[in-house]
Amino acid sequence: MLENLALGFDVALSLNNLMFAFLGALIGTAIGVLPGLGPTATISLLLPMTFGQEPVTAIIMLAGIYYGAQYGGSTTAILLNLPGEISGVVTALEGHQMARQGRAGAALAAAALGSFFAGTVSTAVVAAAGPALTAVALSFGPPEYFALMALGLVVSCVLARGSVVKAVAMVVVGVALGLVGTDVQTGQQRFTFGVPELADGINFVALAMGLFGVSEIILNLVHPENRSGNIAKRGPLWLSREEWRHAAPASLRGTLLGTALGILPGGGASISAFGSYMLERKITRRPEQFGRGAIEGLAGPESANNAGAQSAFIPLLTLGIPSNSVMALMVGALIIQGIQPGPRMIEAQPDLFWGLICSMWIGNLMLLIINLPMVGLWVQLLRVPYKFMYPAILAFCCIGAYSLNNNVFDVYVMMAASALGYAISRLNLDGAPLLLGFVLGPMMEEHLRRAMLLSRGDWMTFLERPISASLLAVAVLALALMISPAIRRRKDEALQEEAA
Amino acid sequence: MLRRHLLAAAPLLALPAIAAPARAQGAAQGLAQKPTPSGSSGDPLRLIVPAPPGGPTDILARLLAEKAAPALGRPVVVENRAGAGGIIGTEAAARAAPDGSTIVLGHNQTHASNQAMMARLPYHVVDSFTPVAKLATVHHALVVPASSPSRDMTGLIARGRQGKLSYASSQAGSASHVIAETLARREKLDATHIPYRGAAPAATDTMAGIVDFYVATFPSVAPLVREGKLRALEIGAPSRLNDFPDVPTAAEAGVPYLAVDAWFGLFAPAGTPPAAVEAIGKAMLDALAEPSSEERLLAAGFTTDPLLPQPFAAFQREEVARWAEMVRLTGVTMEG
Repeated sequence: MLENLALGFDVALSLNNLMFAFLGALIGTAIGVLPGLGPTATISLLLPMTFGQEPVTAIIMLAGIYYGAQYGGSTTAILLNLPGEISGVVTALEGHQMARQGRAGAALAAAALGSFFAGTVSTAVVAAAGPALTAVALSFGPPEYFALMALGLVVSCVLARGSVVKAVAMVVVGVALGLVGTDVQTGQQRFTFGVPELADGINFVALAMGLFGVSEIILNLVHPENRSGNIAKRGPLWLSREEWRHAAPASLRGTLLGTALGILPGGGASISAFGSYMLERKITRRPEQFGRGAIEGLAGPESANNAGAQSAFIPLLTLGIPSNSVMALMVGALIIQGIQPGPRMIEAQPDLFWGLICSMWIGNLMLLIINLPMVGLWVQLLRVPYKFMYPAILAFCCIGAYSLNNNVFDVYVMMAASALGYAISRLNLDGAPLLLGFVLGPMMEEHLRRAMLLSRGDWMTFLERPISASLLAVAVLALALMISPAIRRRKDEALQEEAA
Repeated sequence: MLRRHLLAAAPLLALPAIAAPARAQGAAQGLAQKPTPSGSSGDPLRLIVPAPPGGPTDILARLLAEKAAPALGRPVVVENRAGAGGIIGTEAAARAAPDGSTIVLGHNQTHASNQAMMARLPYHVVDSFTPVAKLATVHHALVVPASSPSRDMTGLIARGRQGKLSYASSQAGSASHVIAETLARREKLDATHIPYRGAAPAATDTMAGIVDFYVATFPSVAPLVREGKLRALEIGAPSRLNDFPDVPTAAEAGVPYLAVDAWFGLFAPAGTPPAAVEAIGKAMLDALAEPSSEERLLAAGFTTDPLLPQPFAAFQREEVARWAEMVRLTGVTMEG
C-alpha cells in the first residue's frame, strides 16, 4: 500500500497537477459560495474546461472543484442561511446561529478544520480498504436501505426544536412534497397536474433555497431588528479553547459516521450530516445550546459530510458505479477522456487511481490553505449594508435556481417555497424536518416497494435479514426513547401532585 | 392542507408564465433569423441535449459540437434541458423556430417509443421534427449475476417457466423494461419487474444477486462483464463483439426478437429549410467520421452508425412502428 501511495503522491505532486488541484479548489469555492450553485451545478458548468487535459489532471481538477464547491456551500449556509444541498441544511442550523452571534469566524474555521480532518481520515480509509469495502456496500439490498431510511426518519424528529408533534407534522409535509413526480414503480405521474416540469419531482435545491434563504430575507425585511447584516459585533476569527473542546470530539464522531455511511451507494452519504447532528444532539451535556449556535452541531455534521463525500468515491472507483449525481458527472468526464471506470481501473491505470486518492488529500489541504485566510473576508461580507445585500442574494438565488435545469420553472418553485418557509417561521415551526422528510420519504418508499416486489409481498423480508432487522430494532428503540422522557416527566408530575 | 394549497397554486400561476417567455423567445429568434433563413450566419447553433450533463447523450453532443463548429462556421452551443425522461428538452426543440438555429439530440425513447407509450406526449415524434442525421447505436445485452445458476438463455427461460424470477430495469417504461418484458411475454416467464432510478443502481443490485436478470445498454455493464461480476447471456448485435467473443448474439441464443438497439440522432424542428438540414447533417456526420471522435465514442460504448436525413427518416418511421408493436405486446404504458 505504501508503494501505491508513493506512486499516487508522485502523480499528485507534479507541478502541473498540483496547480490544477489548487485551481479546481479555488474555482469550486468561488462558485460554490454563490447561492444555489452546489457541487453538481458547479461541476457541470466547468466540465468542458477539463476536456483538453490529461485524464489524471482532469479528474484531479474535477475532484478539487467538488470539494471546493462543497466547502463554498457551507460558507453560504453559515453566513446567509442559504443551504445549497442536503448537508447545507444541517450546517445552517447551528452555523448561522453562530454567525448571528458574531461567531461567524469561528464557525467558518471549525467547518474548514472539521472538513480537513474528516478528509484526511476518510482518504486513508479509501486507500487502505476501498476495494474490500465494496463487498459491504453490496450487502445492502432494498430491505436494508428501507430500514436505514426508516431509522433516519424516526430519529429526524430529534432535529426539532421543541414539540415532537410539530416535528412529525413537518416530516409528513416533507414526505408529501417528496411524492410529487413520476412514480418509480409504475411510471405514473403523481400530483403533477399535467405540468411536465414536475415529472421529476420538486427540485431539492430550489425548495431548500426558498424555504430557508429567501424566506429569511422576507423575515429580515419584515423585522429589521433581526437582520444578520446588523451584526456590528465582530467576534474573533479563530476558535476559543472552549469551542475547541466541544468541536474536536464531535468532528471525530462525525468523521467515523460519515465514512461508514458514504460507502453505501444508495444515498447513504446524504443522511450522514443529519445523522451526525442527531448524534451530537442526543449525547450532548448542554442540549440547551442546540439551535443557539452549538459548535459541536456544526463541526460534527461538516466532518460527516466531507467524510461521506470522500468515501462516496469507493463505489465509483472500484465498481464504476456512481453513488450520486456528482459521481455520475465524474464518470462522464472519465469516459470523455476515454477511460472506463470500473474494477479494472486500479490495475489498468494505477497512476490515475492512486493519483486521484492522493489528490483528494491534497485538495483538502488546499481548501484549508485557501479558506482559512479568507475567513476574515467572508465575515466582512456580513457588514455590507442589508439594502445592498438582499437584492444581490435574491438575484444570485434566481440565477442558481434557473441554472439547475436551465428552466424558469425552478425559480417559481423557489418562490413558492419561500412563501411556505415564511409561513412556517410565522407558525413557529421548523423547516429542517420537512426537508429531511422530503429527501428520505421518497427513498424509503422506493426501497420499501422494491423490497416488497422482490419478496412478492412478504413483510418478513425485513426481519429475516440481519442488517435490516437490527436497523429496524434501533429505530423502534429510538422511538421508545423519544417518547419515554415525556412519559417520565408526566409520571414525575403526577407523583409531585400526589405528594402535594 | 398545506400541500394542496401549494400544489393547486403552482400550475395556475406558473403555466402561462412559462409558456409566454418560451413563445416570445421563439418569435424573437424567428425575426432575427429572417434575413438568413438557411441559418448559416455566424449565429450559434443551439444543440439541445434533453438530459443532464455527463450522461451518454451529453458526451456524444459535446464531442460533435466541438468538431462540427469549424465546418459550420459558427459555434455550436450545447444546452442541457433535462427532465421528464427527455420530454422537456425535446418539446423545447419542437417549439423552437424552424430556421436552422436549433437542433436536438434525440434517441429511441424521445423520438420513437414515447409515441406509443404516452397518450399525452406534448409533441409528435415524427410530425414535429425533421430528421437531420443518425449518429450512433448502442446494443442491449441481458445480464445475470455472476452467482446465477443460468449459464445461457435456455437455462434462464427454463427457470422462468418453472419458478419465479425478477428483473431490474433502468426505469419504468424504458427500452430496458420493454425488452425484458417482451422476453417474459414471448417465453411465458413468471418474472416480476423491479424498476430502478437509472442504470447504475440497477446494475448494482443485479451484481449483488438481488434480481435475477437485467437488460442493460451494453456499455453501461461492459466493465462488470469483463471482470466476471456480471454474466451476459446474449447481446443484441448482428455479430459477436471482438472484445467479448464468449457472449452469443441474440439470434444465436434463440431470442432474435431481443436484438433491439438504442439509437441516437439529430432532429430539427419540423419545417426547417432542407438546405439548413443538409448543411448541419453533413457537418455533423463529417465530425463523426473523424478518426479521433470515432475512437472516443467507441470508448464511451457507442457504435457510430451514420445515416443522412432521408434514410434516417425512413429508419425512424420503422422504429416508431416497431416500438408501437412492442408496447402493444407488453402493455407497458406511461400515463400522465
